[in-house]
Amino acid sequence: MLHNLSAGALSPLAATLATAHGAGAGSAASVHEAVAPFHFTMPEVGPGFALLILVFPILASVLCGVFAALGVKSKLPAWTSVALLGAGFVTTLMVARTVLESNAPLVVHGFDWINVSWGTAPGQTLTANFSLYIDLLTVLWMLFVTGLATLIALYSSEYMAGDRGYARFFGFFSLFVFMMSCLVMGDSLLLLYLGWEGVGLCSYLLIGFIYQKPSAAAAAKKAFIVNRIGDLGLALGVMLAFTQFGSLEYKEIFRQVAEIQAAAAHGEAVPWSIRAIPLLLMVGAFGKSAQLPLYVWLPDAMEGPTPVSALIHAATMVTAGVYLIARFLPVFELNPVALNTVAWIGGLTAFFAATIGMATFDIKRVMAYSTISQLGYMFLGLGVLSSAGAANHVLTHAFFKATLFLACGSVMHGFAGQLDLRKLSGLIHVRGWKVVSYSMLVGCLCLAGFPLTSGFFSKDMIIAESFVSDGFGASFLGLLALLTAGMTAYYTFRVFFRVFVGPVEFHAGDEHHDGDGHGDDGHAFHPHAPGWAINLVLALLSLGALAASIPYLMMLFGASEDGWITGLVDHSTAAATHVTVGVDHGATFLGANPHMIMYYVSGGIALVGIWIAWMLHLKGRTEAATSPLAEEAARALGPIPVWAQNKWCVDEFYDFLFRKPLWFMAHVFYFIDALLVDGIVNLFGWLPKAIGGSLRPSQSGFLQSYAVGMTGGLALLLVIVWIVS
Amino acid sequence: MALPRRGRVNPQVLGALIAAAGVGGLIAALAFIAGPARPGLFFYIFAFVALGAALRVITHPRPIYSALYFILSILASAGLFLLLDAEFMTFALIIIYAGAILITYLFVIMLATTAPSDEAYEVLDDYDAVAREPIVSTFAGFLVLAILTGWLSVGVPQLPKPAERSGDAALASLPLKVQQAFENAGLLDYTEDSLVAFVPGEEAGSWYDAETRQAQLLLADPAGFRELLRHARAKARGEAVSEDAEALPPVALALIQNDPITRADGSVVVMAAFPDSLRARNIESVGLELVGGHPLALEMAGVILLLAMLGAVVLARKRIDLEQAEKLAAATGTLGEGHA
Amino acid sequence: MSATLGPLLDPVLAIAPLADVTLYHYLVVSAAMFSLGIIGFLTRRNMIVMFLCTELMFQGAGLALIAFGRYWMDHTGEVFVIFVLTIAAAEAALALALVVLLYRKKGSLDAEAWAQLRG
Repeated sequence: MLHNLSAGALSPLAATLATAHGAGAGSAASVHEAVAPFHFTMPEVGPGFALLILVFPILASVLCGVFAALGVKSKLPAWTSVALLGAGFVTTLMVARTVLESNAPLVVHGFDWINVSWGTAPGQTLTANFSLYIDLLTVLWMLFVTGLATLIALYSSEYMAGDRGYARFFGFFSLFVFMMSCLVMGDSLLLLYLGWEGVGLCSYLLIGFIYQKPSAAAAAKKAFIVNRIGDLGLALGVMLAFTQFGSLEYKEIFRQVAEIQAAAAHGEAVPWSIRAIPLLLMVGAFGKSAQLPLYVWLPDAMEGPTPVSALIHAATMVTAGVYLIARFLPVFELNPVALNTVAWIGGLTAFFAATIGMATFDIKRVMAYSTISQLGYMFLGLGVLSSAGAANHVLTHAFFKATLFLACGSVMHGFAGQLDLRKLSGLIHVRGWKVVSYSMLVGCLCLAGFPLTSGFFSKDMIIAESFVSDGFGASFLGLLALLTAGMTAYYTFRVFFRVFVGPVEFHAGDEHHDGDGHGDDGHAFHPHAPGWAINLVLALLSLGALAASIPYLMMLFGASEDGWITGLVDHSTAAATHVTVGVDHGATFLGANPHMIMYYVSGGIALVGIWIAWMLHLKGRTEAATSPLAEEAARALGPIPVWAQNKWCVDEFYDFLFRKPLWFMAHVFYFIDALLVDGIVNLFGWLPKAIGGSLRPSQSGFLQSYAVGMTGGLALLLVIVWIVS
Repeated sequence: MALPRRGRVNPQVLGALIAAAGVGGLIAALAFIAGPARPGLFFYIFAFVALGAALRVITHPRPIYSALYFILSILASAGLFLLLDAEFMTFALIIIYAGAILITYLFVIMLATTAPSDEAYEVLDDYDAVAREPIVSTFAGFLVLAILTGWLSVGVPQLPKPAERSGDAALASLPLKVQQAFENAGLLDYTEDSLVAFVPGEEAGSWYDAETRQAQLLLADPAGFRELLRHARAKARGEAVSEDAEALPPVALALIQNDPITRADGSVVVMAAFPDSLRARNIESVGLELVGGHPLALEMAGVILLLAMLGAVVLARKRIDLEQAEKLAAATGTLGEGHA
Repeated sequence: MSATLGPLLDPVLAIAPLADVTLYHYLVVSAAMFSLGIIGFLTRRNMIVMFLCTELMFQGAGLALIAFGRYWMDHTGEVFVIFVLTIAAAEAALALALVVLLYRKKGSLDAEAWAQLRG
């Protein structure tokens, strides 16, 4: 299938590169109104400030490293990190204003890094300088990366208090922010790859932060290794891109892609080598963003501290895959098969993860599976060419998922590590837990897609687009996405109704006997209510989640055309070739604007899901451990809940498929090594001994045997001389 | 045969003796007949005896017999040397090898052999009875032999006949022998007190030339010599000559090559050829070669023999353990003093 | 006498070319004697007989020397053999002295009794 490229429609990609204003009449307006808040609040800054965005986190990291070396015990590392990351956020805002005003990508040259040339032909120069390419897509990403980083750093200043590796934590945390910034702001595939690997590294370091715990160390390894599989695809894609385009820099790549797109519009076939690039890049995205074959690391990554889960595995690192595909959407458009694959994987992942989420008891794991599911939505959005939808969902998801994680984290922090929803109930009634509970509620509403929340709008964009897309089986995916939305609503509120409302009952977790500083005698357990830092951050985040719906409301009620996020996206390289979603879409569904239909349908489904959750998990529930109706429902479904609870045995399947053969081969090779290699080496030791042993009898000590040897030698010599002469 | 033995005379031994006598007689007869024209037969005889004896040397279990067979081999080798006109070496071999070295061997064998007692009369040590690794060594040895003989079979011309022997080179160093030969021929009776040796045309040097086998004899009495010569020649021609006329003996006449010549300084010389029998004997040649050509080696050989003798004496001394005091006393020559 | 014995010798002469004795013949005999000496040296265990066989080897070498001397009409061969004889005598003396010593040590003349340099 090919998108119908009308020759008349100017590609927004080309328009972006031509540094002219946007193509459509409406787009300019959306950008303009996006600029407005920045214009009035932020000063204008030169391009060099963009580099500061990178300098702040790396400086924080180095300083925290020094603090760790010096054995600083106070909260100094935390304040340093918060301050520097906050400065980074402010700088991001200022740079955002500059970019929005100029409406052209900002390219800032840092320093020369790799600049080698071995020939004069086009493909024989490798330039990958430390330069930044900041267009509107980048701005969108950087805003929430730096913003959330600052807030979560503040949160973890209290959360991680008392931990021996306090300074180390903040060092890794800031390093992560630096790497993520590199990834998003880099101007070449190499810098993106640097950031990619860097965030993988920091993820490993932070998941295995409590390295004494074997499960944490194992989870860190699993995350890194599974990511590596994806990184292989990415690396191959980068290399292939270099061989095909002759350069790794975005400018050059997109220029050539535009040419290829123009050629394709006239009917020329796109060469397979170029069509292979998106397939490879996609593998990388799947690894990093935990999509279907390579998602197994994300649930285990919950072994890391909650701030880590919130920042890395909810908001930033896992969206790197989405960013990659969004950034290179023009390249993906050259290969419709890739787009379809992305859509399908996204849709299936969303559904699959939701099924597991419905059966898990660990609330953080539920959130992890919901992250996987929502990432599936984003990929689905990209696959049906709703890059705006995907970007919207990224932003909204970042906010509410961070809120959710932090709330779960404070529950864990306060109840000595207790995360089982069968052991907690009615926390909203406990003193000091109101903020946590209400922010949890806000997050849950957004995640479930309750009407008029930000999650509702962004999810709807994706689902609506999938119904009207002419991708392969996109309608089926749309239905699947709707069903998953319902499931999402169900399991989200299952958590809420079990943990936060209902009869008050709570049991301490495993860390209780470690002592939580309250001087308890071990029998009476008092929950540790969160302090000001946690509450503040949670409040800010919930407000942010709520406020994120404002642009959509404005759009809905006609105050704006596309929404400013959409505007940002459309003026970057992530724009799809056909005119983006908006009220002037042109396509119809069921005879009316698809979005309007979808508002009602998905809103209804969300409400149905919430109602089912209320029925099964709150109504008639008298104790924390179980709910009678839920038990009945589970029995009625037979073995399915059990399978879902066991994560569909995917880990075991991978173990069987990959690990066991490798283990077997390792043993085989061990034997080969012991027998063959060692054998050969030992042979070299044995051989001289054997030869010597066989020659030793010639030294018999008898005079005459030596004489025999001499005579024989003489005879031989005579024979030889005779023959030669 | 002269040794005492038990019983009667063994007829087989007798038969063997007769056969040996017969063979010896045959050989002697052949030698008479063959003479110098048939050296081949003797070569084969001596060669087979030598090799047969050598074979027996290495195969006989008793060491004494080995030594005795070796002596036989030496004798046969001496015969071969004789055939090669090396008479001196023949007898040197017999004297030194068979006479000295082998006797030494025999003494040592007798010294080092277990004496037979009455019970074990035919005692033979194991090391004599059983050879060691005969196959390998025999193979190696025969391989050497094969190669050597094969090598040597590359177009070797015949040995020159003895008549071509230029053993006369040594005559150049034996003036007295030449003189004695001329004296025996009767020439010098007439030329005594007046022999001057000179080489024609040169001042110093010998008065004879061994290469051309000629000598220049200075005549003391030229006229008388001419008389003698005339008379001898007349006799040889068959003319009648007065009885009291002295003539050169026919033997001497045969040697005179030409008439006497008067040289520039007035002396008269006559050229005489060497007598046929005048030849340097082998021993003279060898002697001259040895002492004249290799004096250093000769001296060194003597020194080596001396050293060997001393070494053998030192090595084979019997050691007698003495008490320390006795040793000391023996050293200082005060024997019997202070000895209880 | 030669008239009577001449015809008797003819069959003998027919078998072997007696008159044609070349240098080669002497050298063959010499090589054979030398080889027999080698074989004897390697085979016999009695030390004295071993040295006897070395003397046999000397014999062979001497014969070859004399033959060559005769061939080249030179007395160098005989001179060489004189020296060979000298050295053979010296060597025999020393060898026998050593054999006597060894016999005293071990009480037997077995060459195989001395294997202390066994590797």
